[in-house]
Order: sequence, then C-alpha cells, then structure tokens
Amino acid sequence: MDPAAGSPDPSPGETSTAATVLDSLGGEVLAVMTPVSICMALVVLLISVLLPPSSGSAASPPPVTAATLVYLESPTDSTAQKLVGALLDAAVFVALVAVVTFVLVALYYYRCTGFLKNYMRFSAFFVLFSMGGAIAVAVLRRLSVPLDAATGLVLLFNASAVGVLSVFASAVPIIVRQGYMVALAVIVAAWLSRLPEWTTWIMLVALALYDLAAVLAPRGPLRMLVELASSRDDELPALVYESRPTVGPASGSSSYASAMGSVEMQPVADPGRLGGNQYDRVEQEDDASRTVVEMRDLGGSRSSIRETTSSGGSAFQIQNLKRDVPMVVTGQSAIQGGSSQHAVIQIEQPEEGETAPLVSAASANNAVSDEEHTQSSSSDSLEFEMYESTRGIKLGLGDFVFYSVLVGRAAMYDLMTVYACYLAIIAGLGCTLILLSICKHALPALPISIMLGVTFYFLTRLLMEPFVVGSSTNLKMKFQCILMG
Amino acid sequence: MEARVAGVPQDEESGLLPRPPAASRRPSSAAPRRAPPPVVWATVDGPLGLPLEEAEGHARRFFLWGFACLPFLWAINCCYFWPVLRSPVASSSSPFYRIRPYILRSAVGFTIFSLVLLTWATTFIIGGERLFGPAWNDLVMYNVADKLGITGFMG
Repeated sequence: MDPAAGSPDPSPGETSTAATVLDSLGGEVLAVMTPVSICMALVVLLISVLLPPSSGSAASPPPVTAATLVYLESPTDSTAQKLVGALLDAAVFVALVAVVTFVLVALYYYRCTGFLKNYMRFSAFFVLFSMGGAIAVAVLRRLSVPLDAATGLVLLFNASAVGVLSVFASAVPIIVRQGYMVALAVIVAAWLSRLPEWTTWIMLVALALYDLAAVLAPRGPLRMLVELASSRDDELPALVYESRPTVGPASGSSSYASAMGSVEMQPVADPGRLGGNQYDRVEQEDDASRTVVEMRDLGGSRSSIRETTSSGGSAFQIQNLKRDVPMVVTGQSAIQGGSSQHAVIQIEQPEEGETAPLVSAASANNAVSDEEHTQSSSSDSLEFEMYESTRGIKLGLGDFVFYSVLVGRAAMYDLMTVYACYLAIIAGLGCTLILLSICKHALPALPISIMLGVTFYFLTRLLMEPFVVGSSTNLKMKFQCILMG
Repeated sequence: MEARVAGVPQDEESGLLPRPPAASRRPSSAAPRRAPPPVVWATVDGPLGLPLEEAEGHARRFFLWGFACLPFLWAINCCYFWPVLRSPVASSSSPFYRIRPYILRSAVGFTIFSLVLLTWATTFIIGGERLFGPAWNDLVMYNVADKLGITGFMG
C-alpha cells in the first residue's frame, strides 16, 4: 500500500495521493476481493444445496456452540425474549473471543510461537477433518453419491493433512495455501450460519464493534498482535489470507536474494528487498546479514544449542528440519492443550480468536522505532520500509468467515437479499481498502462491511421485497424494481 | 556485529532457519555471481518458492511421507515442482538432476493411487447392491456416519 508498492521506485515521496489509491486499488484489491467473493459464493452454494431437504430449518435444532451458550432460540419465543437472549449470546461470544485473543497475544508475547503454530495446525486439522467431513457427508447424501466409507476417509484424511501442512508456510504452492484458507473459512462459516437468526444478526454487529475496538483501541488485542509481529519482523501468528505479492523484476541477483529471503521464511518479502537493493549487490549482502543479526537478537530468549551445532551439517536437510523443531519441543503441550477441546463449542471459539478479523496494512510496521531495534542503522530503516511495502494485503480469516455468515444467512431468506448483501460487503471492503491506503496501518475489516451488509439486508427485506411482491402482478413494474436493486 | 551475534543463541520460533556461519555463506553467495544469467526456479511460485538448494530435501520428504497413506502429498509435490517435472530428461549437469527422480516417482505414485481409488470407487458406486449384496449399505459413507451417530451437517 506504499506508493512504491506497485513499482520498486526508490523515491516514493513524489507519488501523488491519487496515484497511490489507484495503484493500490489495482491488482491488490482484486487479489483480496476474488477470494472473498469465492468464499461467499461457496457458502451460498452450500447452503442452497443443503437447505431444501430439511424443509424449514426447524427440522434440525441449531447446534449448541459458543455463540449460543446462554440462550437457544426457539421459534415460539416472543420477540423481546429473542432479542434479550440474542444480546446475551452475543455478549458472551464476544467476551470469549476477546479473552481467547488476549490469551493468544500473551502467548505470542512470551514467544510460545511453537505452541501457537501447533495449536493452529491442530485446529485447522480439526476443522477440515470433522467439520469439513460432516459437510462432505451431507453434500454426498444430498447428491446421493454413495461413496464408500474407506475411500471417503482416505480422501478426507489426505485433504486435511495437506491443509495442515499448508497452514504455516510449509512449502506448498501459494495457490494451494490460499485455497485452503478459503476452504477453512467456508467450513467455519457454513457451520456458523446454522445459528439461530436473531443470534446471528446481533452477533455480527457485536463482532463488528469488537473488531473496531480490538484493532483501533490503543490496547486492543489485535493491534498489539500486529504491532508485536511487525516489531519482531515475524509473520502474524494467526490464520491470515495473504494475497499474492507483486513480484519485483527479476534481476541477476534474484536467486541469491530469494535464498536469503526464504531462509528467513519470509519468502513473501524478498522481492521487496530485491527491488530495493538490486542496484548494489554489496549493500544487499550487508543488509541481509544485518537483518539476520537482528532477528537473532530478538529471538534470543529460547536457545537451541543443538540446532546451532548441527547447522554445520547438510544445509537443506537442517533447514527443512527447522520447521519441525518447534513441534518437537512443544508437541506434548500442544497435543494436551488441543485434545481437551474436541467440542464444537470450544473449537469454533478459538477459531474466531486466532483468525482475528483484521486487515493488516503492508506498510504497517513501525518496526524501526521499536526499542529492540535500536542497533539498526538508518539505512536499515529504509530497507525495512521497502521490504514491508511489497507484501500483499493480508485479510484475517475471521473476516472471510463473518462476511460469509452474513451472506449465508441472507441466502436462507432469498436470493435478492444475497445480492444486496454481497454488493454491500464488497463495497464496504473497498472502502476499507481505500482507508487502508490512506491510513497505512492495520484496520478492522469487519465494521464497514458488516454494517452495510446488515443495513442492506433489512432494507431489502423490509422495503424492497414488499414492493417487489406487491407489484409482481405487473411484470413491467417488477422488472424495473429488479433493475433498481 | 557478527562477533556479538555468535554468542547469541538462535531463535527457533521467529522462523529463522539455522544459518551456516558467515564464512561458509559468503562462498555460496558468490556462486550465482559466477553464472548469473540462468536463474532457474524449481517451483511454480518462482522467486517466492523454495530455492533450489532446499528443494531436494523437501521433495524427498514429501515423497517419503506420501507412503504414509498420504498420496495427496505426491500430488502437491508434482504441482509444486512442476517446472522440474516438465523439464527435459536431465543430464547430470541439469540443475534439477537430483530433484527430478523424486518428482517423477511422486507422479507415478499418485497416478497409480488415483487410478486404483477411482476404479474402486466407481465400481462401488455403480455396482451398488447388485454387486456387493446387502453389505453394501453398511459401507456407504453417510450410512456409516449415521450408524456412528455423527450428526450430519444440516439434517
């Protein structure tokens, strides 16, 4: 989102604001909106495929999840009862989300990244295997494809295993990783869309407000998370959709730069470094080694002598092992922590916490101003700006989930509300992205979109539909109305 | 700065991989300087993917793990190292010389697996009760799920 994002121009100060917005609104916006649209479309498809047989959603009672801990809506309740119950539900849910997010931030602060990553791998596996499996079974039943259990199990297990691998930057194609992010969001959203209606709407609004506070308030958990991550120059310890970064021009030194970049497991970042430094190879080397120095300093809290000594061995072997080492270290605790949470109640809950809704601006970091970086020189700060600026836009998986929940809930009513909500959400996302290119720090992605979406849903449902239905005797009238919508 | 860093233990969490000492890093960084023009990427992601040096270990691990009833890893292997798979039959001078066998074997393994599984699944679906008798119903996935009491999604 930096002016230099589109082109590795070493002097970004001259670009005008209009050019900035236009530049960033080009490919990057499309790169974010496409997966969001795909995700919503898949959820709508799932719901419209699966809804008819139950013939009125009252056939199966809504599941008891973290969002319906206090109150489980039943159609016979009065409106006031529903409203109060839904408010209580939403309050409890948001409080749970906030608590879990704080716990995650605390874990990240005390550098339990290994635990966090394993926990996230576990929850990804759980979501894909059990929740995704249940959806797969339902779809198979609906389409009456009598797949046998063994084949289904093998396929499901394989898909889940690959999904777990792709959650954290293990080397899988970028497209596969993005696909799994969308798949995770679709699965969680499909489950959440089974919540009772009132609870869904109140919960969405409450989450949008929570998101606003969590990202923008000075002590908000998500803000702290983003700042911590950027000050450590680390990836966000959350399930975050990363749009494919624009690749800088390939030059002779690109192979070397990529080697350095991927050694730091920030492959996304290396084109930036490449773009910034392609003029002077010597400086690039200096920069790279200095970056490494800093990261070593930052990470000094957990020593691993074994690794250090063994790093003299064969290079790639150890580099690959490296990704497994945290698993070895904290594997026990991760399994213990994880296995206690097989209920849907809890698993959906942390899912929200860790896939915390946020848009992370590429140039969000003030890493240089951090105390821990005091030894970094001024040239370094320049490099970091460039380096950060070419990362793509990041969108938390929670945003995907709740956009899709909104659209999915709309899909249970009518297709017209789906269109209205879709357009409203995309428009809100566009607004958020424009704001992002102006503000240049992490912004909550939920508030604008959710508010617009909810407003449009009720407007469509309360105003538009009577209008359309009332005029449906007159075909010409109806046609005009749809055009207006 | 290097000297100060030498004593600092490495971080295992920040995603930093263990690095060879500086002395050995410099020559490797000089390698592309000798032959700059042909930049080869082993992966479909090009500059964003794994560098060539790490690729072999990665391909081998995926290939071996594929035998643990995880043939999708073979498919991922083939997709990820597509340029290697498409490269002409390699002589020992080719940069992909050491990776290629794993990718080829992954491709073969995945093809065999998917053929076997497809054949079996098609037989099962089309043959149905005529072929397998009444036991067929007990093997169908959603019936098994019902029997195990896994409440289906949406009814």
